[in-house]
Amino acid sequence: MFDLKTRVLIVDDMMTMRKLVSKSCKEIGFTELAEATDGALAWQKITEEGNFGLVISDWNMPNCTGLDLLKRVRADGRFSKMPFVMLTAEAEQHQVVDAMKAQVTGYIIKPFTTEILKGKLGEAYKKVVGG
Amino acid sequence: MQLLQSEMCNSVGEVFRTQFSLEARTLGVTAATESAPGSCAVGVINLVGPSVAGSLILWMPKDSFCKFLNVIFSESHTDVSAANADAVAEFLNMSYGVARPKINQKGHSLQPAIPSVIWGSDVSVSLNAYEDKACLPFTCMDLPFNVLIGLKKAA
Repeated sequence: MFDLKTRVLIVDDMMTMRKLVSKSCKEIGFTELAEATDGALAWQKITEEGNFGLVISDWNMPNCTGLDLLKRVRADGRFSKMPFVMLTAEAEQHQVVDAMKAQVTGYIIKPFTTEILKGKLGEAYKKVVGG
Repeated sequence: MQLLQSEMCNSVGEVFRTQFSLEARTLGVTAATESAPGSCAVGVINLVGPSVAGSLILWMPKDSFCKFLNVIFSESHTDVSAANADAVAEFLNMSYGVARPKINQKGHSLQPAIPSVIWGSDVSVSLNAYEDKACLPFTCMDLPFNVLIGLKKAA
């Protein structure tokens, strides 16, 4: 599992979902949480602050989608290995495939529980360590 | 319409159960497609596909909405406001997200959508402009909320 001191960036345009994800992350034990309201602002935070060890992002957002954010992250050598988990209501197979092609680390479909999030983050960590 | 009704009945229940550990019970389908003006939070998704267009609406009276938030976040919400109204859109977003792949597996091509939010003290909802309409009343913790569906043939 990720070190619980890992700095986590939660990206979602819905405040309610940011609160839900943040609540679950705190229940898991993460203590360093930051938030962004769309992919563009998340990219700004990533490039300016640069010390995030995990991104948990929604897909369907205005300005810059989660998939676009993922592609930007993977295209930049500084962040290309950054664990990036998509947490989204987009559940169609072709969307999961698109995210996999863009090298997403993990994919979680809403609705979720803290246990589901913990399990998926564990799988993502193994993928990062193993890969 | 029947497929959409059926999948939304299932998906709303699944979202409340999984995400919030709450039981939302459907009360069937009614023909009532207008709400009386009142204080409420409303989430709206524009349904877009090659053969169909319409609206998917989640209507929550203030008391229901605030009670759900109080339970979900262990907070005290007494009114719908800019600070909490997007919750209704997220409830709808998740429900549509669960229902859409199941509908599309049966030959439709409903597109992803970003829900919008309406709230206020004197808001009413009407589906009178739609050719095909239905209301799915739900109850959760003995408090009501409705899913409304309005469809018209795509241009």
